[in-house]
Amino acid sequence: MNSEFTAKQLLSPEVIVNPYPYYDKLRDKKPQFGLMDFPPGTIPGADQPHPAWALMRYQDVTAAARNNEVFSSRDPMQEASTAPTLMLVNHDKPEHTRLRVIAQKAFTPKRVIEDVAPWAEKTIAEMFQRLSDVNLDFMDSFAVEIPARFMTRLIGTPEKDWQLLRNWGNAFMVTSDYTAAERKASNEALAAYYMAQVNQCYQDLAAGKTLPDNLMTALMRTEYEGETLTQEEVVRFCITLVVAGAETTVYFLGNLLVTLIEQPELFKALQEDRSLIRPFMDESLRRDGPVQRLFRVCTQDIHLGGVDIKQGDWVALFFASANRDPSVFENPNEFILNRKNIKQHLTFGHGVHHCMGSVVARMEADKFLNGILDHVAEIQLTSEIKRQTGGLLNYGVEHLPVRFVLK
Amino acid sequence: MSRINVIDRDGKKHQLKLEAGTSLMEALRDQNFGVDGTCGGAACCGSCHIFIEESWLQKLPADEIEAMTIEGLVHAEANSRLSCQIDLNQDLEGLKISIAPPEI
Repeated sequence: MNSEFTAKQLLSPEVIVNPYPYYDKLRDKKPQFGLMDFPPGTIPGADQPHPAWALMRYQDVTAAARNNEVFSSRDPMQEASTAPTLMLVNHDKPEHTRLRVIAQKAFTPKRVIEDVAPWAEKTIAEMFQRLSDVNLDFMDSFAVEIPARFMTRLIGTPEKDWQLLRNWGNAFMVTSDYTAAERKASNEALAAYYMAQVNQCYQDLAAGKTLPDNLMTALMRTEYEGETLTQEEVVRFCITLVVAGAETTVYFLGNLLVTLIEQPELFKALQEDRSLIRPFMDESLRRDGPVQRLFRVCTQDIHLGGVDIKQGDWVALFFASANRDPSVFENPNEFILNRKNIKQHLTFGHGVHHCMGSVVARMEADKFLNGILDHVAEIQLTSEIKRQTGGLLNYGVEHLPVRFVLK
Repeated sequence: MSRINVIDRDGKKHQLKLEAGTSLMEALRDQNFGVDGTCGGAACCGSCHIFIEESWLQKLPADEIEAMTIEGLVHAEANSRLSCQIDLNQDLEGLKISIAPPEI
């Protein structure tokens, strides 16, 4: 592609496979209008995308993310589609405050660290111990399994159903190549599953049974100003958790492993000092964070980044481009452990809509990296890495053929 | 400007001279004390958790939303605060804090 590259071209497969050089071409110019992209939950081929402004600079992205009065998270396109509307992600104040308070009371770091993390550590150790064939496609056999299984445990649904969660998340997030009919059917199956699971819990509650303590039952019980969530809201919370948690983290794990393969000196450094795991994760989130962009809709005219954005215009906040803005992060394409301002990366968003599952993502990645360091002496790439090209939401690997040389 | 005494996660003591205009979280994050500030100051992620000297609790109380976030943290104590909710525009001369362990 030549230097006349425009935001409208961001959706081509050759860009999706590695969008960063194209972000560089756009970041120095004023924000451009006309990106025709599909937010999560919408269905290419069935829903009609709205043209959007593409914000690429750190300063513009954070200004928009912070200003949630003007940059609304309600998604009229998703609301009009057949897919269930996401909780929190697609709400504004004051509804967002009510939902966020309940979610925060139920979905605490304590629940993740004390209830799920010890189980996660044991489960990952078992996954490495049962490896009979050390040649594997990491994305098919490991990366997809960890987040989906953890999500079943956290929410409190049967662990054996993890594969379903992964497929539903993948279809919902418009990452892989599904037909419109397949995507619609998948969204319906996802909704039906959680309606049944949640309904069973309410029936058990009505029958006076003791409910287990998990995230689903916590969401049912938690009150805000004397009121609890409706049954439908609990269902939609579960769906939001699945599509957000069983998809993005898969790519996060894949991107972590790619870096360990491409830069074996980092694998050696982690082997020698596990206190580097946290800075290693943080720098991966900055440089290779899976989530590329999310959308807002303007509630009033505003001047931002040198352009006039009109009320009703769609705006895409490219967090991934902001993470490689050279005016904030020196040598942004390099992987630098313990980078001075690493905590300013935007992969989990910024402001009240920041990712509530960031603790889960970090916990999963931490347990996975510790598992690799416990069980694997060397990681060899056995064939070519294939990156996903299905959609711009996530930057990540589709096939990662590796050989784990076990200790 | 306020002089604040900080104990980092390794137990080392520092005295910081902090200018008004930002939050304590931003100052600690920018000076690499290990706080994340993931939510950018919305009091909802708990990743800028600190402990403050007991005698300051009355002067710097947490509001309802902040207290609720703190309640969900693994390392919460009676003197926990979220540093994103402490404004450096007020007089904090002599405040003593320590950085809480990270949640993960």
